[in-house]
Amino acid sequence: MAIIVNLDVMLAKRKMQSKELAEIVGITLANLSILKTGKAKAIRFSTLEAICQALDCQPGDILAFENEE
Amino acid sequence: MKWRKLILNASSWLLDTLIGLYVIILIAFLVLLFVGKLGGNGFFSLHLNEEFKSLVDRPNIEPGPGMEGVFEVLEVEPIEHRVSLELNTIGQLGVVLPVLIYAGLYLYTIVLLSNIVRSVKANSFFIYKNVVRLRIIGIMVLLSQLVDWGSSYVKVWFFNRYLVSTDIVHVRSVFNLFPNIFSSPIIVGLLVLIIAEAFAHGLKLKEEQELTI
Repeated sequence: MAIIVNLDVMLAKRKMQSKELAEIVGITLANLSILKTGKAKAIRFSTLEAICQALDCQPGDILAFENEE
Repeated sequence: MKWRKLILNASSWLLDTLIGLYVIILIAFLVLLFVGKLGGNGFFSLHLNEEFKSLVDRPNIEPGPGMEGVFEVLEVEPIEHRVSLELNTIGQLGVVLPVLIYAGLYLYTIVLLSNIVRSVKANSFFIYKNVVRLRIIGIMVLLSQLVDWGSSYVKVWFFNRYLVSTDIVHVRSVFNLFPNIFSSPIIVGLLVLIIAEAFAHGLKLKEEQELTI
């Protein structure tokens, strides 16, 4: 997929565990894992907002575009 | 909800009974075939074209008692001949093998339909397996029409190639260009394929919904 999710990097920078982030954002650990592994088809603005708030970052810190060509 | 359950149970029971009966008939057919009790006869019907209808003896048909004033039978037209053949072993194989293949595919289609009903009963309608099942059923229904057309061509070919008739010099297969829209396998097959594609699209939407975080 052309959109890369850099959630692992941000979690490591903030020294936060996935379980903790899932609890703060209000999603299941399974869904967070789907997001982290890049299997997600879409992300709601509300989820993105909650993640950015929890990790104190910008959407661009979590999501990146990589040209597949 | 009550109606839905009733329809599903009735469909499931009907299909399972049909599968059971069909398997019994198929086994009986195979047993009779191997025992040799099936007989070596084959038959097919030939449609008569316009030129030869006049050559065939016409049966006498009249209105029944009390119906004389209601209608008159104006004309009776023979349109078909039944040709019965005594076949040798190779000839029997040539007839039985396609029939067995067709019967197997027919059984497989009913099993697929039964599996779809089971999945609906289990509340797992939108699964990829059902899309594949519907696609296969659609193709099978279309194939059945092709087999029908093919067999009519084979009949004509067989007649022209292996039989000689002094009365019938020309035979042709009959195509129905305007079939009944509700019973034509072509229409039904296409409908099933369209439903399968709608399913595939629905499944994609469901998957996207599930993978939206």
